[in-house]
Amino acid sequence: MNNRSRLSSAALICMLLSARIFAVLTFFPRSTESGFASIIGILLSTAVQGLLIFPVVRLVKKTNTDPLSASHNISSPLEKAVTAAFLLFFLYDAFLDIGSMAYFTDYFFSVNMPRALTVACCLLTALYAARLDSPVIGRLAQLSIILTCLMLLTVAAGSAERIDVTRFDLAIPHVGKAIFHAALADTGRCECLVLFAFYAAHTNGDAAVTARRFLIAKGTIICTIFALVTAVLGSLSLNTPLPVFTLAATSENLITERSDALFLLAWIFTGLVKLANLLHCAAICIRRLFPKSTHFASVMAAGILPAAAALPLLLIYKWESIICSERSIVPIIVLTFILPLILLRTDTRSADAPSDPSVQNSV
Amino acid sequence: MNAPYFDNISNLTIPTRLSDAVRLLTAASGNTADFNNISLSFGKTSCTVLSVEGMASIQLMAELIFQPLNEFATVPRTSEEVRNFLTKGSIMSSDRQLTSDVKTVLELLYSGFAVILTDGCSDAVCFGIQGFEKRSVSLPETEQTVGGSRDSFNEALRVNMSLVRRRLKTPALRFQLMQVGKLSRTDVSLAYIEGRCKPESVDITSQKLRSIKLDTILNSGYLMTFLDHSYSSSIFSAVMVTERPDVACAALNEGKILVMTDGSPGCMILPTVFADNFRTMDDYCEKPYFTAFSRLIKYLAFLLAVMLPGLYAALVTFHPEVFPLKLLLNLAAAEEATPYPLVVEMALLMVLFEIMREAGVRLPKAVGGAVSIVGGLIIGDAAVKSGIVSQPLLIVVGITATASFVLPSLYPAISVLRIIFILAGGLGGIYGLALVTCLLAVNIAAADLCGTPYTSPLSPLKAHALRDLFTRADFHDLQYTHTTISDD
Repeated sequence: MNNRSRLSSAALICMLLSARIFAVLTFFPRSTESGFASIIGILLSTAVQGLLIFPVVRLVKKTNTDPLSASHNISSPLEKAVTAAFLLFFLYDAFLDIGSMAYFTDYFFSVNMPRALTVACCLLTALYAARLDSPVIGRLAQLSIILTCLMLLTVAAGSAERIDVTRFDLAIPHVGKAIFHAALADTGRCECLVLFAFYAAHTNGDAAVTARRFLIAKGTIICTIFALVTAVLGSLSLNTPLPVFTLAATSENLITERSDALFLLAWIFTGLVKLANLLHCAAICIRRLFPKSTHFASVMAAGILPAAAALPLLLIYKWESIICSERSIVPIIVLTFILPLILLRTDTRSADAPSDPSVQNSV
Repeated sequence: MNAPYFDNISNLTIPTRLSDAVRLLTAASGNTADFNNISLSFGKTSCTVLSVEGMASIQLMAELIFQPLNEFATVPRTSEEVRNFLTKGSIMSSDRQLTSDVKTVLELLYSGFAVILTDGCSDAVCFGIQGFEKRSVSLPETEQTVGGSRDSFNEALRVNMSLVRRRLKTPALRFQLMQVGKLSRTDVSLAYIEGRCKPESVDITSQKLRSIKLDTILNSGYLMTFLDHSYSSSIFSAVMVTERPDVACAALNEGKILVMTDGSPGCMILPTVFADNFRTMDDYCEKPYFTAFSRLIKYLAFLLAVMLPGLYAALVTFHPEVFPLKLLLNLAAAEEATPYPLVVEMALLMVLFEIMREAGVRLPKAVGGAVSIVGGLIIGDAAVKSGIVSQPLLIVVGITATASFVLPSLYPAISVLRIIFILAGGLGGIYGLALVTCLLAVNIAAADLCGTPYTSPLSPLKAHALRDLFTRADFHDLQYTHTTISDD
């Protein structure tokens, strides 16, 4: 990747924020019914995430490569295993993304479209973006963040009259447990950390600075969204699907009675950016695993596989069981913490080891 | 059939004997009717003046060629003396070339040069005395301004080059001249400011122009697709066309490249960014607050022109709960009275509007006004009264049509996008609009020319350039800090 085609730090941050914001706009993890505990939990999890991605940042600083290239430098089987792990994660996340967009669009918005068509439309749009370079997706992500901020400002302004701080529910039993659950739930939805591990080596800026800025921005935005929903709708709304949609539906201004149309626009936009990103990354993994595959074929395969998996579940109305199920944080920890740590250690050892056998014997 | 590309004469040189030389050139030109030759005699030595009718000026030929030659011919001359007189001893024209290549001689003849062949000499002396008919420098027609200059480029390349040079009297302004088109051999000039423009961009552009294998270049539009690699795949173009010399000079100062084509009044500027479409020379004649206001209006007009009909169709069809109750009742009553679905009505009206606009453009100005009256007032009023379309819909179409005229350079993109947005909004609601908006955003984000993304300076963010995005840069600041399009 030459300097021109590298991602800028701001673009990467926007890509990661889009992924995280789509998750939070779609579904709040069922952890606690206290807004206060949720916000403290998010702040705590943001700090923990800073530690989680530390090995990735070290790996990038030390080797200037992503985990895939770093594993390639060690051994080919390891590279295949690491690439396959990333690929599976991206495909699974794309599966959830496609399904969520189709399910909630059909569930909440009066769009007279069959679910299959909804899936096809969003898939084709995401594929159109995914076939391009990552800086293009980065520019798209910047636009989606601007749109989301405008949407949140409009919704907040329209709900300002009904904000009540007593809804934060400070008097909750087992505060520590609630905060812990909230932190765990937030980390479980931070698939964007895996994207960071994948992209960190391909940015213009310093990976540590990018990570710091991303975590600060992410913590601020997610906390603001949680605070807004809690202050307007109360803590109970935290455990409903699309809580921000409910908030937008009750937000009115001088021109419109509701702001849910604006929410839908921003939500779909962030979802498409996230999906395009995941498909782009998955396509890169496919090309690494199958070097003979073309760019077009890899992108198509990356898109069709998760869509084909999501479609039957959507058509038989079983998607809710998927979207409401608990998300394990293990894949995120493995891909963003354990794997880079192993690569870092292995790389350190191989760097320390003398390359000349005669020198080794002499030691 | 042989391809008419001068291939048969590409390696020929002019014979020393005058009669052979004239015969060869006459044959090479196919005895064309507009080929003139006049013979003169200097005692023992004779020479022939060749020209192409209508391309060389008769007056200049009389004053600069025949009068000096007649004076020189008062005493007998040898061929060497004639040659020396033509090449060294006279100032017949400021543009003088010496060549023995038949292909070059023919190209110069067809460019308006007079060619003098001398017996016993294999070199032809060519004098630039072009005198073909051309339009004078006149008012710009598509880029009107209130405070800017009133001259515009015309079809003559040299005139256009002089209009630029007159405004930029710096040795850093460079022109590269080349001929493009295998048949037309059209003069194309590439202009840039050394030190402001990236040298690699100039090289790449020059290389792209030289590699064009088209037969004819009759307009600058012929070159666009070769200069902008995303021209066919992108809705917007990173190459902008202007007919204003002041806009062209401002672009040069920002490190951009101009490509001027002989025979075309439009000068191409590259690379341009999306925000350039919202800038006019008037912005730099007004106070910054008014410029900011004017730019805001233009951005708003763009959004209205592209999205308003689609948004209206989406909201009325799928999300009517968004409207306040009174407005909703009015809209419901109006739509109830019409026979067709909203999306069909909207698409029909938009297509009708485009037909009327196209008719207005092609017709003479006097008749064009009548088309507007018939289309806008009579058909519109009749359509509402007969209940085919609703009144709110007509208001939306009217606003959209007016907004689309704010940005003439974006009109082709706006008119197509509008129809796409109507279909997306009418069939898929806000979901459809979101998808199309995303596709459009990807399309804009993917456009990139000479390493400058089309979305610059917003994405990638260039803080120094933002001052000229929503308002205009202050001239006090510009005295000390100058930025170009390629600055990071």
